[in-house]
Amino acid sequence: MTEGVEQELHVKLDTPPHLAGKVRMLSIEEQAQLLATKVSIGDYVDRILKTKPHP
Amino acid sequence: MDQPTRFPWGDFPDVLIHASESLVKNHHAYPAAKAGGTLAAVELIAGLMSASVLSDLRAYFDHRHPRLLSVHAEESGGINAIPEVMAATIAGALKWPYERQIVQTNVVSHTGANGYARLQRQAVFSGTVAAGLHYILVDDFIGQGGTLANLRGHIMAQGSQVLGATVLTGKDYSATLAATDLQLAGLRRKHGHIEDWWRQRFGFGFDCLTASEVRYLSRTATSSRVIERLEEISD
Repeated sequence: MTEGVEQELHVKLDTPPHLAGKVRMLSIEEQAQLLATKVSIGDYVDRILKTKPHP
Repeated sequence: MDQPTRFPWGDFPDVLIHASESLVKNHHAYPAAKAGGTLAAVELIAGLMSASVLSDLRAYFDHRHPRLLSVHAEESGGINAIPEVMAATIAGALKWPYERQIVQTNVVSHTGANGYARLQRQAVFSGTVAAGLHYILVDDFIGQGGTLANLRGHIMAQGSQVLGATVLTGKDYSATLAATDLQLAGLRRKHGHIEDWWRQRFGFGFDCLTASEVRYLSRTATSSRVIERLEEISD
């Protein structure tokens, strides 16, 4: 990410389109991706909280 | 789907709710946050998180050194970014650690679903935690409370305690998770003869239902109708 520039973080799974939104168990790969997004969201918020407001 | 783990509620405190449903659901950032937009979730939480609820969380739980744990899940519209942003933000405000090793392993499509669909399609979780820790659960919404019940069970099964929970929004009457003895007795008078069937199907007895679930089931006229309504819902 670029310092001082507000950037969106959009988290999503690499789910085949025909399974998107369906009631089901996530595959092992999807569970690993979901876990990774949890970490990335936390890092993103931590980074925002540690950024001093613009003067 | 896998069966969830639940435990009886004991004296579990009411869930602390930050904002009304109308404020949350009409917020311009809500749809994007619900579909994985993390900046939108930050904007939503920054705008609607309640200072008085944060103060209550600190007053009730700070002395027990809790860790925050969000319901992190894939939903019908994508990954819901709100709970984890909320957990990380509360963690920053209260200087509490937050847990990042637990995720929901199924898609349950509870949004807009009726009570029987929520009971039939229960959230299950994976990920390990160390024993002997104290947790506060975080979610964006409380309806019947089943998802929080199952996340609590996932933690308690590993030897840690869940002290309480906080959500961004939900109706006031959903905040009480522990059913009263009177409510449970009423449910058992009406449907007690299917409690063993219920335990086989879901892996827990009526004493592990939330107060909202108990009320919902108690409103169904007959036990055979309870079974029929559940059987109508596909997994």
